[in-house]
Amino acid sequence: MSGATIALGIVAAIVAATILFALLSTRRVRVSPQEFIVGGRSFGTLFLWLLLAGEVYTSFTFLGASGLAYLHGAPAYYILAYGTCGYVLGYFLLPKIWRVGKERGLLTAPDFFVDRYGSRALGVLVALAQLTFMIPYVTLQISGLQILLHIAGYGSFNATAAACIAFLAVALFVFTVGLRGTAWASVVKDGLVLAAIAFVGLVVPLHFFGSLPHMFAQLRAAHAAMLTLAPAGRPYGAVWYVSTVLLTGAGFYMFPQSFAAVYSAKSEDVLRRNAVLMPLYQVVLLLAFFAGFAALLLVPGLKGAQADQSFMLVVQHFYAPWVLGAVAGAGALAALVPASALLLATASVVAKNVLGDAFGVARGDDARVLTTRVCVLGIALLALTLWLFEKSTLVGLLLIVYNGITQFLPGVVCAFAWPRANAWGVGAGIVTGIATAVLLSTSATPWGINPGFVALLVNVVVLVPVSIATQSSRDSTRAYRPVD
Amino acid sequence: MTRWRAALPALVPVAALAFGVPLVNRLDPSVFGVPFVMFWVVAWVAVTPLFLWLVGRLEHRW
Repeated sequence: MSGATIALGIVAAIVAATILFALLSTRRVRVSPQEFIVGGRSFGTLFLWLLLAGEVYTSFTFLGASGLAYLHGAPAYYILAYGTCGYVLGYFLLPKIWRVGKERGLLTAPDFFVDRYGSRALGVLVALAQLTFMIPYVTLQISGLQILLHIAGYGSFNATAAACIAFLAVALFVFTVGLRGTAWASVVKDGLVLAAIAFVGLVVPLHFFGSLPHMFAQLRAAHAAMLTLAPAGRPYGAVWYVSTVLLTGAGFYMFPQSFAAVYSAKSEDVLRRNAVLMPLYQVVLLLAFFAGFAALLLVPGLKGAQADQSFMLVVQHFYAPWVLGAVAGAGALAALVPASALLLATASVVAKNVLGDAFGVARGDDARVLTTRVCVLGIALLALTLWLFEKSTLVGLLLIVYNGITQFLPGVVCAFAWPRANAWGVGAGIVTGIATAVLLSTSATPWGINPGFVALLVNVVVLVPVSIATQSSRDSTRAYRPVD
Repeated sequence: MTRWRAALPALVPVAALAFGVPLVNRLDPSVFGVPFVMFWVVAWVAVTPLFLWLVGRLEHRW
């Protein structure tokens, strides 16, 4: 057997075994929209932790974090920092969202906007914006998958076709099992990803450099400037770092799949305990940086999007095919499991808030599960199509997604903090915020500040006066009462 | 203790991770060979649970 056959066989076995495990663990559950989309609001601390970790630790974690460390060095530290800032915000925000979701029976992120601001049109706006930004986020996972299959196949076959097949298999998987199955798949995925990342982040550096201090000594000799941030004002400099950490931390929980995960919790305290524990998991990302730095010394010279392959190339060059297969299999799960959660959440948003609310399609329970399933397949195909035409680095894609998604935060915070906020203000803020992010995304910003951060400020500056100018007596009656 | 005061400890890791990093943007003193700024980020991420746990205590959640 050739190396490619062994490695790819192991990848296929890992993915198939995970899907089978998830199918078996969900087979007795009755399917209603509550069950399919938010797991029947029944997940406890541990199960929710696995689900959230499953959604947070994606192929971006696996490949993009090390790729960014490889290409630019210190700017990669932002990945550790922003997730942690996101958890801090989540500690305060998520229990409030959960309570509203439970009391009003909400299923999706736009549902929250519809309920608080009393406008279905706002719900449709949020839903369409989420769809627009989630598609590149799904393509990010397909890109990751393709890189892994390409390397596991030693470049011997058409990885693009293989990635398409694997991705459609996962869309069918989500179609069948819903959120609970996704959470079970995360259980397997997290174990394997942790093992794989410990291997490439610890075993590989120790093997080649003897110890971490030795590796960093070599890095300092060859690439000292990369190990600290560039001065303020430069690309990827200090201003970029601070604005990016604040922006992406603010947007951390604004994704549709995050709202689904919040609603799936059994209680508020489950969410608080999760927020306390999650940063510990974040520390694991350190190993991805070690992997990227080791790759920089071992396989130098990769440019642009190639850097995302860096540590996989190390494994391919220096280790046996079965090791490569196991690492790539874990990586494939890191792409496929989050992709399934993203697909499901985005599909439920489109099915409920666009097709259901705007067009009056499928309002019954069974029909809603069916339209959600159809949307899963539709969105999967859209994402595949986009991916076939557009390739960029994983971190580049991720930052674009965050610039858009974060624009929902002012509306969510004002829902609790500012009784006078209304649908016109929040809607105008979202539209101008996204427009600003898109306009700035192609040009250089002053001091290298993150364009999404500027857009977020514009969003708030629009939200407040528009809400005041369009004030009506109904607005404050819709406001959520402050609760302890 | 009022609610907003109970939330104050949560600001500490955010300030350290966002605004603190450019201030400690240096290689030395390195810790286990790891550049100081990298160690700073990792250490603050690792202690964030303590700060959030403290907020929970001050809010009488646990």
